[in-house]
Amino acid sequence: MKNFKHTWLILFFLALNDFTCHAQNEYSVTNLPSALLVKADAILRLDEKVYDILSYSEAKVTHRKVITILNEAGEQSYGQQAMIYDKLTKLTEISGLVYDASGKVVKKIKKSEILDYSNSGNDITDDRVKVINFGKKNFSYPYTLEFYYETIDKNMMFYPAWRPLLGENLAVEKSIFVIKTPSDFHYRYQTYNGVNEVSITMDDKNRKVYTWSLEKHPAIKKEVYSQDYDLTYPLVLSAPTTFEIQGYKGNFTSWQDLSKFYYELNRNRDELPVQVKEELKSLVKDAKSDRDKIDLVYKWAQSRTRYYSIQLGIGGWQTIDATTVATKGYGDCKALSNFVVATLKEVGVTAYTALIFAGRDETINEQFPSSQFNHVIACAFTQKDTIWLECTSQTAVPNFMGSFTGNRKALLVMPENGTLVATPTYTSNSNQQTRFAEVSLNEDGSAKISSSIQYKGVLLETRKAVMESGSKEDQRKWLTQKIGLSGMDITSFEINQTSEIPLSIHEKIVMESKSYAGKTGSRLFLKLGLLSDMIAVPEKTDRKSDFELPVSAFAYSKSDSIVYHAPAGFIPETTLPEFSLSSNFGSYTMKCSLVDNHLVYLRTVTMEAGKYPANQYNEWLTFLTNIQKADRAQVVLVKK
Amino acid sequence: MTNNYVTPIRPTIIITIVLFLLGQFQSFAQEDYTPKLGQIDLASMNITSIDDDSTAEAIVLYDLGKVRYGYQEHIGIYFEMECHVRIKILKESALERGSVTLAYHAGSSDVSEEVYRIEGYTHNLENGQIKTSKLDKKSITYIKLSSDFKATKFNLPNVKKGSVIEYSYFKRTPFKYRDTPGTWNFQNNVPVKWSEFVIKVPYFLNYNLIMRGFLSLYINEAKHENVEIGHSKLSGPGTAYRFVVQNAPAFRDEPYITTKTDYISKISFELSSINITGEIPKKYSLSWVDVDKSLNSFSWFGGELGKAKFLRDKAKEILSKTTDPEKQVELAFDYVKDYMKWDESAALGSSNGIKTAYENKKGNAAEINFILIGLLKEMDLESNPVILSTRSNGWLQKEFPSIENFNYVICQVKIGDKEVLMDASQAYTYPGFLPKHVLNESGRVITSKNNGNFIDILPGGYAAKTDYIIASIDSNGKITGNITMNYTAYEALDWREKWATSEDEAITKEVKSQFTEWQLDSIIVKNKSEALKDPVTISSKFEFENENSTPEMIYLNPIFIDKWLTNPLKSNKRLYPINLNTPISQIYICILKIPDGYTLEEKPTSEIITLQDNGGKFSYLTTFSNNTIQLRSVVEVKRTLFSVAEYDDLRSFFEKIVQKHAHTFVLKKIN
Repeated sequence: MKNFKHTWLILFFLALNDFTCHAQNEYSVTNLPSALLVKADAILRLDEKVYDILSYSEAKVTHRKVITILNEAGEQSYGQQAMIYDKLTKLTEISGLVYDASGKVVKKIKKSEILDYSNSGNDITDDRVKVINFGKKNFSYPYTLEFYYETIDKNMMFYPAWRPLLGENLAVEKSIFVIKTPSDFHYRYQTYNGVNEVSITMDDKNRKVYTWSLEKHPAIKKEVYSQDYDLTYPLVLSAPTTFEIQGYKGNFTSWQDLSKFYYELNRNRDELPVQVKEELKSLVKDAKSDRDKIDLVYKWAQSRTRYYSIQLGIGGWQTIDATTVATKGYGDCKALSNFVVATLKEVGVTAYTALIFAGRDETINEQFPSSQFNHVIACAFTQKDTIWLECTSQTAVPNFMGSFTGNRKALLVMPENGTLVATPTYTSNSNQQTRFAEVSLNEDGSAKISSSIQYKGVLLETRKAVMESGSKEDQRKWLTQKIGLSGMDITSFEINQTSEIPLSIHEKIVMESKSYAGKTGSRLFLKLGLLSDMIAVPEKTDRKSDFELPVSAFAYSKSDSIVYHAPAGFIPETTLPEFSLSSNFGSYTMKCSLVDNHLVYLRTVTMEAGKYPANQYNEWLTFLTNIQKADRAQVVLVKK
Repeated sequence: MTNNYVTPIRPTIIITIVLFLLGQFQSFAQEDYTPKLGQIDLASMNITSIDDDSTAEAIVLYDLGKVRYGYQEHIGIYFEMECHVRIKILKESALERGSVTLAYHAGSSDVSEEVYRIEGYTHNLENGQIKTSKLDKKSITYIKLSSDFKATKFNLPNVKKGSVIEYSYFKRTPFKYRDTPGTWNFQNNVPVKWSEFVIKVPYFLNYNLIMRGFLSLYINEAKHENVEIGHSKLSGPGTAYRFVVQNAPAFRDEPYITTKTDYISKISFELSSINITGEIPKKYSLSWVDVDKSLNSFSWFGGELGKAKFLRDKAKEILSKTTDPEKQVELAFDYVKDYMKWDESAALGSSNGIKTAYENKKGNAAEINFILIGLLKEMDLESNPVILSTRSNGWLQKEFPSIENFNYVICQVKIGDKEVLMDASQAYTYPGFLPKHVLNESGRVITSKNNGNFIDILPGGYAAKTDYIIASIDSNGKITGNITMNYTAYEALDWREKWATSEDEAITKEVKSQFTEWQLDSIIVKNKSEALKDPVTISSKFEFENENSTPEMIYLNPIFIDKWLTNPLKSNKRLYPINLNTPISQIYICILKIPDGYTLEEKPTSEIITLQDNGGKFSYLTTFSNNTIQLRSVVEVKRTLFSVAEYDDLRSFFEKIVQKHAHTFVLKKIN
């Protein structure tokens, strides 16, 4: 027996020794597959995220990230790691380690080195962030950092998603995503883009363990105009079926369920003060239609409220009541939309709030009902129309959603049967820019230009923003920079909103340019397209992935009609240019002709947004390059 | 002049109008403005513009900062600033001014700031009646920003387009945390009708008051006054100052300035001494010698300037390699520069000691240059630190001896009777060639004998690029030839900072992206970083189509690259002097053979123009002989500083370059 004990001890030490050796070498860089080093600035050695669902109202999250930094660029991108937490996400553990190339621990991050900030900016929020900065000491490359945290999550409306390819120039050695649940627990998940089959096992505590993993994936390279991550790379989405948050129970198996949950969460928060009700009554007394009422109430609400973000606990999803908004005059998107809906109801118009994923060209995954929204708007109904209302802006007009919330689906928040509904679409036909200009050239090449442009659809957004902010002097500077003619001074300008349906912005400018046309001896060299918006051509590459031209930038039609008055005695020496082109991507026409001794330059461009296969990329570049060339067309005027 | 504004009452308090402030004061009695919190008149409600700027998003009607000093047992001396702000909202974009965040220092009670007595009002006009809503105390929130800072946030109620918002608060700052009130800006990004700063300085504190900017003071008073601060030893006859700027236009950024804060109208403070009756006076940076002494006494500065024993072996190694001191300096500089990685921070001193920085192989600018000084001293070369203020930190104020001004250290070494400046934290610099961010006119040499002096910190060269093109054009308009581009001095520095560590493949790609319509063949990149004093050279064969060729005529502008397409000085008005950072040299030479059977019909005329006072020269010279066009364009801007009066000259100089660069040659087929 004595001997046995001894042997046991030796075995123990051997095992321990084995373990420490293993631990030391685990993150050594010697055995890295060479394929992972290609175009990589860092390698994700291990990313292990475990979402341990304890009950419908609570989950424990553990997340370990081990990253080998190969060079300075890798350090810039990954040398700092951060974790955001708030009242519903309690951060219980956070730590960091640094290993040298051999895999030996060379630094343990001290608690005092972990910085803690409010994540608030100018908002009022309980969001905080803890940050570990690993790169303080210059470790020689390659070195490896380990970042670990644990949270107790009480916000069970959101389950995590797994996007294992975290970034460009980051190769992945191993990434694991685990969801653990009680044995009889229901939730939903969906996998995309070639994710490995899930492995489902039971652990020794009779908990069901779902595991997805990905190994040895080289660094990805995102090409310009490539599609979203979610449409291209491995993805697992997960979401609750039943959950509880701060006493509110929810069920998320369909969009109707989500809609209903938000409705219940925000129920009975639409009571308005008596005085406001009176005010509304007199406001709409002469309204002839529901549309009139919507316009009146919306303008009225805009004039007495302003946006201010307040996100505290459940308040991130639950609105401030309409009475408070009425008395304080501010609120966030939920509160302002709720207020507008309450006032519309008060005047007898059917209206609901709607959840939406706002941002340029954003969309949601319609097939997987889950909390995918970041914004709330209002939606009002007349007998024949749906009128969308952005309630956080004091200058927006009804039903103009533009690139921020247009062209996508929003979820109407209703007691029953809430569905996804499309917001207004924007196409090459609705995004218009129409320019008329007259250019009077002088013999020295200088010119006086008067230009008048009408903007519609998403093309008006920038002009509207300029019109509404800054002083006249700031606007003048912006325009001068934007137009960029040689030696130009703006004599006078105006930017106005000319109509609301459809929304349209009109810009009128009178300006002078010291050298609009180049001059040599008896000739003037006139670049016809000088006032037009130039087409940029992206870099030519060996295109691998399909490309998507977004609506906010590639769906428009622009037309320029410019009359050039040449100085007396000058006539064209060259033939007048003319060009036209048409493809899937759009069309282009350009023509210069002599009408009553004046040069008339007409140019139209139409661009079509959409998804195109990779093998059409060069075709697209050729299309753009041809336009670019045509836009450089020049007329030589010579004095006779 | 009013009686109150005479020369300073207390000799130790200096009021000086530095730089461009117009030192004119009204001799008539001023109209005063002292609005009462929460009470507003119709005229203030109806204001829509001051001066001619009627389109601003808001107007600050009143901005008051009032500082008084006090004493409390547990925190000692403190100062309390009362702030009162009144803003007229003219556009929707200004509504967010109704949401206020006040940040302040947190920590133990003797260093923690406090904000209290917050009051807020929103005034609206409704049917001709002023209706005032009061800030609800319950909606004031407190947030911990970080371990050192807290913030108080509040939202004023019912803020609309047309509202006048108003709030006031008090902020108490222990003297132990800060011994000077913060800088007071008289200007904002919107017009300010009345900006007032009041301070009652007790007898025992002596401040330098430094006024800067381009606006004049409307009220400038200094009065003897008894200053009671709640402690018998500290109360007594002090001085009350009052400064008002009226109708300040919105502050606007302009291109080619050092940093915004150098141009905004403001007042700032510097403690020069504390002199409490019965105690030994404490002096702070009263003279430059005091500055030198203080720095030398600090462990993070003077304490790091001994010999660096840990570099003794390295020193011996370098000395054994060469006896030429110039070469020795170069070797030492290159060693430190290559060994140490810059952590991208400017600093006036070491944070963890240079030995630790050396072990970490990483440090701030001061640490890296201290290491170089230590190494040079080990090599028995005379070397001293030079302290300076980087461009983004603002102009140096030589009038006011102070440490606060400085934020950076470089190294000076004596080689024979020559003094050479260098910055070992910057990878692509060399002795005598300093990085652009330190080129801020002057710096101060700190010596161990406390006899420092100011020296000029000048550019070590031009931002220079030279392009040579030798080519020929055929009758179809196809142009073939060779191009060579040389990047020298600051152009080379810029290029190297971007590309020196890149693979040739990436550089080739970048070069190609600059010439999208050209066929480039065999691109050669020479001297990426081998010999830093020599240019980076990129050369290539090329071919491209001249677009404006017809069978009869060829229209051609031989400036194929680096053409000045627009004038960088766009605005027709200028308020501030122009600061170009480095002198500029851009040379473009093209030798182009035209096809046989063509003759030159028209050629742009040669022209030379110059800037006043030897500021620079632009020459555009064209010749034609032996069927060959020669074009030489030289842009040279020698000076880096131009006054407002010279702006038009500089703008039209640049305009001329743009115009000349647009000119075209006309070739005609001989029939």
